[in-house]
Amino acid sequence: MNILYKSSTVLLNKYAELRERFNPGWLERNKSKLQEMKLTLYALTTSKTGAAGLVLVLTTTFLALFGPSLSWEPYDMYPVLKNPALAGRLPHPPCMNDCSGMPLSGTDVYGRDILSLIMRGFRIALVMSLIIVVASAALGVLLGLVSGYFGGFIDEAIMRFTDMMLAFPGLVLAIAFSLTLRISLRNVLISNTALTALLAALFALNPADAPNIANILSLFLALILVWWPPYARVVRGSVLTLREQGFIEAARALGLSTWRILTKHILPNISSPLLVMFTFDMATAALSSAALSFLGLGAQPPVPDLGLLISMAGQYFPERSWWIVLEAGFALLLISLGWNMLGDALRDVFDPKTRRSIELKAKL
Amino acid sequence: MGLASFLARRVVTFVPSVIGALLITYLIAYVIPTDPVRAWVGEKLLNPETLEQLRKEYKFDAPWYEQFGFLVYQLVTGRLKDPTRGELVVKQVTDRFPITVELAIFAFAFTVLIGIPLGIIAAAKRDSFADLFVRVFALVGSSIPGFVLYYFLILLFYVQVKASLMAGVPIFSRSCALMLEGLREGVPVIGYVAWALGQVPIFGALMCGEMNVVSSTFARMWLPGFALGVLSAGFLARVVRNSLLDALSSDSILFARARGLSDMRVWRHALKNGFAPIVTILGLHFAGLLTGAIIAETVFNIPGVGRYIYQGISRLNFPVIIAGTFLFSLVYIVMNLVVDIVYALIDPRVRY
Repeated sequence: MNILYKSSTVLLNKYAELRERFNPGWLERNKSKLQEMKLTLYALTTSKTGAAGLVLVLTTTFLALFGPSLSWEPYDMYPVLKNPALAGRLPHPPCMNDCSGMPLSGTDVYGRDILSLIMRGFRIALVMSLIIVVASAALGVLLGLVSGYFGGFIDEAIMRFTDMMLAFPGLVLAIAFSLTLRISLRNVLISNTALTALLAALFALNPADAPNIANILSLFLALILVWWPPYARVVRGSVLTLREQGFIEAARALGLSTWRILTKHILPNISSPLLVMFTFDMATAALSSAALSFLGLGAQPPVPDLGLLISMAGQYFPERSWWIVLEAGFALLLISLGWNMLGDALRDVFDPKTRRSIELKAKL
Repeated sequence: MGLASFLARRVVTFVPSVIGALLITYLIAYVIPTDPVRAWVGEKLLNPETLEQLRKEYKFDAPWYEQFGFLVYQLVTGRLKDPTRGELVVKQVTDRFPITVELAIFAFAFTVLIGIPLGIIAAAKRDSFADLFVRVFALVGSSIPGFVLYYFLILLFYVQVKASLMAGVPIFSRSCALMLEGLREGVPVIGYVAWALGQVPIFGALMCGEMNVVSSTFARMWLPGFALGVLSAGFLARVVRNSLLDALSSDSILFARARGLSDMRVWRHALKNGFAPIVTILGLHFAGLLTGAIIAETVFNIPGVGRYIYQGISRLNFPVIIAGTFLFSLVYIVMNLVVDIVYALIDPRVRY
């Protein structure tokens, strides 16, 4: 726990030094902010859930960054095609001794090593949830800020639309959206090789697999479309109360631009509940996208998506695929558990009711 | 303002929201740049005449509003046909919905039976082991992907322990179905309600006294119900705990303690105050179970309405999509209504 705190403060200090070098006086001006951040980090790393969540999040992020290069097999190869004698023995269960070339973690129906696939699966799952949450948070925050700050007709229009989106069951709507988008996206990607290459690099997939990249793209665009309304709601609510406060009136009297007021004075004041929401949503987005690919909406084989691996295993369940479900399921659990624990700890850290006691403990 | 006028007002306001919901889903389905009729028939059985006939029948040659009006009118009058099966959509849905309801009831029972007692214990013994357990349970419950847990439980209880049966949903006998029909024809309002309840297989079997059907339903449905219910139980326990702690720290409880009321009485007050917000969550949760059990139905192979509608969406089956949206918005509206009524019953401060 202390290692976490120490390393994070070292990082923070280095960052402050860097800012100071390019922008003299920065340290002096942001001293209290840094102090506050250190306190938050301290509270986070000394709570059990926070430390465990942080470790899990860092581990899965590490796997997402380097998993594809660490995995020892390309995902789009089929041992069963090279060696037809295997066909009757696949999927092969995990084997401890006398394996004759079969991996320790078991194989799927094509004879690919499950563990190697899961290493790649972390990348897809995490990049997907990161894009979903960042994009929908950006969209929701923007709409919420505009709606809450300007009020009137704009507010009414945006909020009625938000209500309408919230009234539908999200899963059903996402299914409909992803089917709508899939066909047109396929055409977009075929004509745009640069975009395809970029997305392929992001998800560590083979650029030749354009239809599958379009499937993944349609899945997360659909989820973004149903994900932003709660952000807009929460941000609007907080802006409505902030708008009437003295410091905003003062900023307006100083003649600051609306954009500056929104980004420099209102946004920082609502950032902590947003951060908590963001962290929890990372877990939910990972689970939702896995659930949709489990239903067959996202990538198709051979993409090593965790939800897809489980759904393929479902056809042979349980005798001939229990290990696939357990291993891929455990990987998904690690991702969502990490973010959920981090969110749980952050909520306590930012909660004004418990904040005082944490500060006291830190100072003692 | 009595209950009757409240209900009337609700019915009047719910008509536009249902139509709005139908319109939006229809438009989403409509803008998909593909030929739905082709998707219904399937690429292999491409017969130009059938295609042309289907296109005429479902008004693909007319403007979209005409087609939409046609679909809604046919749905409301119960004549809408599922083009991929050639059967009435209303019949398909009414055949499947009771099974989804049965699954939802089992899941809901598990959630409530596990979640509420755990939450009360955690609130009563704050910061104890039970409290920690609830916290961990809620965290893990919201982190496990549903389908992984379903497979895991099948592995555990069906393959290893053999404590559950898997395939099929037991249905009561033909004579029982006839008896229920008779009830609907014979007795006015109450008979109709009894018939509607009896469509859920386990209720129907109970009414007819067919205990073997009831017990085999339990043997088959407890596992899917448990799997679907246990994930939300942790979350519910956490909400119950927080809500009860809020209620316990209120001034009215302090006053009750100061007056020297017994612990039992104090807790009764706290429970009554603390449960008002929980009713809302439970109501929406039940609505979610009725509409969102697609994955559980797929894994446990239960022929419910979720899977039917999912197949409908993925094949762009307009009639099924429209009927599904209608059903789902109806479920949400009815559940919201039930929540409001229960709210008013337990909290005397709420007026219609």
